[in-house]
Amino acid sequence: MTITTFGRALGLSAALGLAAAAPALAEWQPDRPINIIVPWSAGGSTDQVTRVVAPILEEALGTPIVVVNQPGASGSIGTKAALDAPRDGYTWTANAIANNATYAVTGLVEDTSIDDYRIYLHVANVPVVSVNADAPYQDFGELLAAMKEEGTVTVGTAGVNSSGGMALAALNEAAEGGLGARMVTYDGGNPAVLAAAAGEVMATTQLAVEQTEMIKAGQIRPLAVLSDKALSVEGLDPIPPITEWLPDMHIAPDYFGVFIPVGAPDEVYETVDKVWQEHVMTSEALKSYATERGADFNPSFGEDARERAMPVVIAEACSRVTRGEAVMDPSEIGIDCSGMD
Amino acid sequence: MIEGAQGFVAALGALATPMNLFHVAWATLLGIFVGSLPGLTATMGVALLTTLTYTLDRDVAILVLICMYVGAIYGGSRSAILLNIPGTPASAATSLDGFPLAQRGQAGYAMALATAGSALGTIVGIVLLVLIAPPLASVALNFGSFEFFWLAVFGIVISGQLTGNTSPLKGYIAGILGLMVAMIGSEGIHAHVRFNLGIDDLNGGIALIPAMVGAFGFAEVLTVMYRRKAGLVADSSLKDRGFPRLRDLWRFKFTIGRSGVIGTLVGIIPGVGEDIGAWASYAAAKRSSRTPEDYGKGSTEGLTAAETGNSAVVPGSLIPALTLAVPGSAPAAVLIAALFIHGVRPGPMIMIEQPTFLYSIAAMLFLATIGIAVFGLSLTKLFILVLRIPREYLMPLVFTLCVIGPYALTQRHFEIWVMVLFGLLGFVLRQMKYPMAPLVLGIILGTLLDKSLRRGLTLSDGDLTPFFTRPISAGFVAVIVLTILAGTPPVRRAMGRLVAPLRRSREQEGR
Amino acid sequence: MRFESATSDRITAAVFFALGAAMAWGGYTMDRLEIRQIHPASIPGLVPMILGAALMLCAALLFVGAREDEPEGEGSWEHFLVAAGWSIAYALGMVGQMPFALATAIYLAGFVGWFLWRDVRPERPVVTAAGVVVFSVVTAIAISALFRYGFLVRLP
Repeated sequence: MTITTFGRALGLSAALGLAAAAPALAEWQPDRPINIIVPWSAGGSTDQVTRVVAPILEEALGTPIVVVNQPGASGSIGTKAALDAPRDGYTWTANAIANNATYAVTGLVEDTSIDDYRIYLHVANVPVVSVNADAPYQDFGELLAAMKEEGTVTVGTAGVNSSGGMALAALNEAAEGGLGARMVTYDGGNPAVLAAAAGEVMATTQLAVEQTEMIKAGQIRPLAVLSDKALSVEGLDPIPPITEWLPDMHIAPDYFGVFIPVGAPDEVYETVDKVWQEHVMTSEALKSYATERGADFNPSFGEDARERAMPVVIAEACSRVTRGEAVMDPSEIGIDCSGMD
Repeated sequence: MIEGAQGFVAALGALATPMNLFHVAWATLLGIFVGSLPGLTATMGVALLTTLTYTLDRDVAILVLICMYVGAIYGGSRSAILLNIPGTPASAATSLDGFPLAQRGQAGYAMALATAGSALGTIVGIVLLVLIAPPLASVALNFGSFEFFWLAVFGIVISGQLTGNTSPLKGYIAGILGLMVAMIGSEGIHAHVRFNLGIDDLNGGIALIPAMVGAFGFAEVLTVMYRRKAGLVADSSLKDRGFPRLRDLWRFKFTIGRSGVIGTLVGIIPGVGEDIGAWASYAAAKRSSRTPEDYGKGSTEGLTAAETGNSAVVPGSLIPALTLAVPGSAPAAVLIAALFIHGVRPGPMIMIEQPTFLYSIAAMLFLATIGIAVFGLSLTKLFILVLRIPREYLMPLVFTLCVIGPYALTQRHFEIWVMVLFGLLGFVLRQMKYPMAPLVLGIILGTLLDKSLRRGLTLSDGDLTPFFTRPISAGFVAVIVLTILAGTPPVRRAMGRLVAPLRRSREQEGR
Repeated sequence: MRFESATSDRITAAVFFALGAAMAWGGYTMDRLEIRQIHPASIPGLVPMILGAALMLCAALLFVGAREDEPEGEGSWEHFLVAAGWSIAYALGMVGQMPFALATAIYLAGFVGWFLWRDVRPERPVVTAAGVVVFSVVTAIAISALFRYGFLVRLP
């Protein structure tokens, strides 16, 4: 699709008028719809959870919140659109924080870091390794053995920088670089899982929340969860942890949230902080979403959220360096790899 | 079948609120105006209205766009009958028999028949939409990257072939140019920015809507001003009957049924639109008519066939648009863009993700059909007044909307530049007899073609064989080869004897 | 110079050939992203190369097959240049530099006025001129108001 610039639908003139009219520290009262750009296609993990959060924010802020899908290029197209939009508090983005913080490292978006956003986190997600229901592999050990042979296994992901792509890279690293699996890029987690269900690719490493429907439908078979403890989802057998096969695998929780680019008037962030604290962090809708889909409801915002996010950000950025995929030194944007071995 | 009917009735009930009916009324009326004014096309109307309604709710916005589409295709018959100038290219065949009828003083009756034909054609199309789309979507669920690649190629080839006026070559070139436009900006697999020519605004690519507003709006304004002024001689003294005789409609039941089916099928073919639907129905009706000698001299049967055919294309063109995200016509391409803007993802998954959406679309088409029937039979005199608006007043007004529209979507002056550039390009290409539909299709299918080819090659580890050996792929390859062969001069000459003489005699360049 | 002639087809064929060559070359020299270890069949330049080659082929066929068509009625270059020039001046020059309604009023008055005087030559120039001005001002204000308050669209 070529409607990649839609999300910049914000008026500069109105932004100026708003900034001039609003007194400092006042409660922010949006006078028009807020766009949340989801840089992945509809139905993916980010899209799902954002569509659960949006109505909560909509009610609390008293203005329509429009979720806009702008997929493409590992989420970088939509992210760039959000960063390029006027910084007036009316264009947000939603994603896994590790993505936003490492787009500069992979060169997908130039000159950006975690400090470009005020961060509001809601759930942590775990990737699951699944195979097509007709595939011969019954447990992860068999799949791992097959993956070590060059060119036999195709793995669908939403791109090198997506949660699934990062999971595959982490697997490759844990298996000491010996995987010959071919990554095939789709427009988002949902299309990648569908490709696995249809048998176009043999396996997928996307997130549990993107796979639960297809797992329940018997189209794909989960083999392992990238975590150190088993994943239990309502209505499914527990999925064994990857550490049963790769005990040394390094795992950091992959946090998701909505992010407001910095530079908007202060009252925007203050108001959203308050809404997050009072409405999102206590939301029953989010809690039940998490238990049904296999996510971990663990909300936070601001500095607290930034702190929680750093382990996964560092892990991702630094593994890019070790894999030779980085186009810059992460320390330039404040990510220190010295703690990693 | 029963499930479809239930879904349709439920969707209709949900849509038929007083507020929505108000939207149906103004949008259909506006559509008929746009269609009846030579120089304003359905594509332009839908593209402009997309930019101006994006703040509305999803269902209301789509409803308004569909009413505009249906209204504009129907509205073209007005000027075709009264002025012998098709209001949109879709009505070129209508003028063949409509204008002679008007000259005989039967303009009112001709317009009534056109109204009935359009309404019935749309209804045939709606029925086929509800019947064909769900099975097509489930077939399309088996489409993988290899099939989607060939689908994109097929769309460009068939559209180029059938819309290239004098030679398919120009159709192919227009299609390739559209695909090239889609190459600009960040690509969808590795996020590498291609051909941004050093302009940062191009990193996100060229959006379809500003390009379409330029190619169909600004280019049309320029074309109208460039042409020598046509003498407008509308006969406003309508004294004859303004309602269709039921006896006539019953007599034409086979013509209407046949034309409706032909129009819908033409609509399903990617990028082949209403004008071809009308010509194909007209030619088929003439061949099986008992009075073929009347055709072109004021045949009511011919008029009915043309109007039924072009209106049936509208639901037909939405079938691939909804189930494959491949537009069946140029206005449908805009509708796909509008669906994305409003958060609906057309494609094979639509029947699973939003099973009721298809029926909502069918219900919207039905409401629009009621709109054209009511307005078409009641407001005859008003439409004649509209036809008298001089072009000097109308065209700058249209251009003003062409400036507001693209800007409204993104608030960037860059979009206005895109609109102007595509307007100038569209004008020149149109003057040189390049069809616009393949260009539009290329812009929308370019990313699909690019991603599917490279994804497919990654899947097969660089091996080309799966592109030819998988059953559906092989079928596509065969059809594409046959289509290209059919475009070569010897085959074309033989085939041309069927439709070409009619088309050439009244060719209306551009769409 | 006519648009639909063999000569103009040959000229455009040459332009398209050059465009195709440029895109094919651009695709060939495009970054193969080896640093990201992508599959060699998925390089970003692949499809541009194919499209460039396809356009070159079509352009060559167009050049060879160019022949005269039956000419259609010609248009007026003067009308085209005035309409295009004035519209572009409005879209790219005036809009954004001054209030939208003002720019639109000036544009409408200029456009309608020029074509009326050029084609129709009104019998009562003062009355017609006043009519044009009123039309332009009222329409410009109405359009601005309709879109700003009716459709909630932000104007330039």
